Amino acid sequence: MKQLLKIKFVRVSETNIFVDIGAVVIAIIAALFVTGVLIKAAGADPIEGYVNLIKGGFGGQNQLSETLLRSAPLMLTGLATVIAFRGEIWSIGQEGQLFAGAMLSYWVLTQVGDIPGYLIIILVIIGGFMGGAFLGLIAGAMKVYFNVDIIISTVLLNYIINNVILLLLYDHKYWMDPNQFYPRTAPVPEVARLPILFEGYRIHLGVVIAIAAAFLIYWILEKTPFGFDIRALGANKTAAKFRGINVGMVLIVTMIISGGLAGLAGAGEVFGVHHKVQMEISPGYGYTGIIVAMLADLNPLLTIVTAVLFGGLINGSVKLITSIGIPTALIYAMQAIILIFILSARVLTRYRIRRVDYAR
Amino acid sequence: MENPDSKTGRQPEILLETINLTKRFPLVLANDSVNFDIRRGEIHCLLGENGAGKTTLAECIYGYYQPDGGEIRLKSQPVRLSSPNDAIEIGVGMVHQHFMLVEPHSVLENIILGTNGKGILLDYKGAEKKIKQLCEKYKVDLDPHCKIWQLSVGEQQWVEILKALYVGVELLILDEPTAVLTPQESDRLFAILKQMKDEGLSIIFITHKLREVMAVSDRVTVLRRGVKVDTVNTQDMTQQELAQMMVGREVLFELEKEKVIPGDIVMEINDLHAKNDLGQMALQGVNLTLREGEILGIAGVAGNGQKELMEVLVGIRKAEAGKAQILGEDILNLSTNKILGKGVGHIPSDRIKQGLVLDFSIAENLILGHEWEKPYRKGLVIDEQYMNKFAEDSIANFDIYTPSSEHKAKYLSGGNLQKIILAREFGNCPKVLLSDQPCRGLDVGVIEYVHKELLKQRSEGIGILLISEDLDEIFNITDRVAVIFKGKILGEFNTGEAQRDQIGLLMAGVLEGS
Repeated sequence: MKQLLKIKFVRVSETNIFVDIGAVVIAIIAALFVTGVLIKAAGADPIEGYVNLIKGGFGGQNQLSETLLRSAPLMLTGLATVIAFRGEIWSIGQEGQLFAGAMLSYWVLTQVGDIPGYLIIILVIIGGFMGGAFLGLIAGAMKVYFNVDIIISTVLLNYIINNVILLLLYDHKYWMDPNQFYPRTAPVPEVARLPILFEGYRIHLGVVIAIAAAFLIYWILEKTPFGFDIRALGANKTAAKFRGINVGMVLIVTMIISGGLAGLAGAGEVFGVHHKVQMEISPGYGYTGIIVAMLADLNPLLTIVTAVLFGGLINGSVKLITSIGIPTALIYAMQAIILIFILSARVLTRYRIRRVDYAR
Repeated sequence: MENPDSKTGRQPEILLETINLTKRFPLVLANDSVNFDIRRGEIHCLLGENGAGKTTLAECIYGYYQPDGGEIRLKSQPVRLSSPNDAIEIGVGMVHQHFMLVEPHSVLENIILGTNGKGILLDYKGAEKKIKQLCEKYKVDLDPHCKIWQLSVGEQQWVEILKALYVGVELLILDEPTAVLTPQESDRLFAILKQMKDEGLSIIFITHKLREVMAVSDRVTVLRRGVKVDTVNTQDMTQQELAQMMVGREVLFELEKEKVIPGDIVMEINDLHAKNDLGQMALQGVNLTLREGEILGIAGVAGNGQKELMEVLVGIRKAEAGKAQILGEDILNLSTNKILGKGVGHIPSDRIKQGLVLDFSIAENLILGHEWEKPYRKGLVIDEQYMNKFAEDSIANFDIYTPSSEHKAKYLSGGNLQKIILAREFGNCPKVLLSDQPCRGLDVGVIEYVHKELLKQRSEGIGILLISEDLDEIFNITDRVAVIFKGKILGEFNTGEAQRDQIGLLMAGVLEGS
């Protein structure tokens, strides 16, 4: 008889919190080690690199402010992922929804005319939410009425939105700034910009909105009947149907909320950071948001933490690259390596390794 | 009690045995020094209640679990089985309670999955021939090119058995094979198993149904809480004696039924038509009437429209034509939510897939479907205080065995899961209860409990529709019985006046005088 391994993985039903945290810490160390090997191979010193990474991300007030600034859109796209994935609705349309939110909020600005600044801000935030929500609604309705797979529809909507925005930005007939050579809109007026939280730093109201959104999503998922329905849909769709839950309605409303959250991220970037619409408002926040949500184990409150960590990572990596001179591609590799290690750790903590005691 | 083979006078050949086999799980001792043996060419029943350790013992023999102590011997030689692959290699096959088939694939593909073909190519032609031969030999009608999802549960089970026969096993383990079968299908299975036995195959048959032990086995080993009670020759035993060995106390087989005079009509179904998943007409003009305080049984072989009838009544499936009223209101093609809101309780046939969310806590499962209703909801949020109180009460009233109401449902046994559903449905005071095989896969003690609860609800004036494939259940607790065949009601009787054979014949579609 074949007898290759004398160990066996035994599944354990519940793990305790210390095991979970310990596993994540070990996974991050292991991921940094593997990335370190790559940095070494690129001819640089990994230790020096990591010191710079941490300094760049969390090393001072300015760095912290920049990290929080970056974490706001990650939180929102992460939360968009959390609420959908908890219902096993595999939306990956956050990137497109982010741009849709940016576009609709900007369009609202072009329409409002002469009204007080705080009203403009309220309206563009609503516009941002509606823009993303609209895309979510389309994908949700396509699933419910035509059974189009959510993954497919959201990916394709990402492409469509990407091209729509290119069209708008590259033509003076539409939104392209007539005074500019680059594909971007004219700057938004001062009054319409999201208020700065601390004088001298860039951190703005959007960060507060993002953190508030995390608590709101937590409340919806854990406390309200609607969140109960989302979780029931995710855990057992058939039972949800048999118990009278309107599965189609839950799916559509969840997609609207999910899309809206990603759309808010877009509005935040336009009115809080870049002050104009351009392709650079998102270096892939929509996709990174999925990673952020997965790392948070689809927990809305933990999403705040993982978003800040990833914001710091992105920020610090600029310093990492410039200080020791390694290719930018290594940063993306590092993000992916961290994700793989943490996800693996999470699976492995659910098992115990045991020597097999054969009957003798 | 074990005698030498009476025909030959020789000691029969032992194919496989376990010596002091012990298996521990984190909280339980699932098998405690079990000595068990299976002879060549016998059908050996493993009898015990849920959680007695039958399946664990079988999974050790099948290599799925490794014992913590003791040993397994094949033809007197100790063997180590580190995986089911090892077991298959030495000629041990197993059909699990939950089938392990790839639904979108064909019968043929499922059977040759994991077996070796010619080089890197799969030998479809050869395999097809061999499967057809096996089907012919056991007189089973099965198209190897049919997809699994198109087959009835009974046919799917046959595919599982074929998988084992195809690789040529000497010992076949069947884990509660009749849990998904009708009386007729079960009888056919028994006949086939006996034929296999006569050809020298050894069969371990796991069950908790006494009738089956009597019908099919040569010997029976009774387990209780992981300990072997005894191994006995089936012919020396009565059902009563076996039940006592199994449960450790006397069991009531017949319940006392209070006399209830049926009241007003609570549900009326006229000329109901509906299609099945394949688009064929599965209900072809069903007429039924249900009154307060009565239990109306629907007897029938699985796949004759029971599933469709239940799904139409709870709004999961669209009706094509006809009429259905509950408490005088039309319910046909309303949403499930609206129907359940009219005082309809539902016990689905598959409690794990359709009735519960296993990842939810017991408390959450107890309000599943009522989460928007008061008093479970307070303002915008679920009233957790009320939910927990309802859960504590339900756990006490329905004797649900659990450490706490926050425990996830997935850690409970089948009987306790069914009690959650009973507690939820009865806790919301239904007027009509639609129950689809509420005792499927439960053990004797729990069945007794469920039946008592149904009778209690009946006494309180609830009308109960009971779909069942178990004639004992029909005769034990219903007031009237209707027989369904190919989507039509072939006959309706007062249960007290009905004859068992007559019902059995109607279930097979045989009308009197034809």
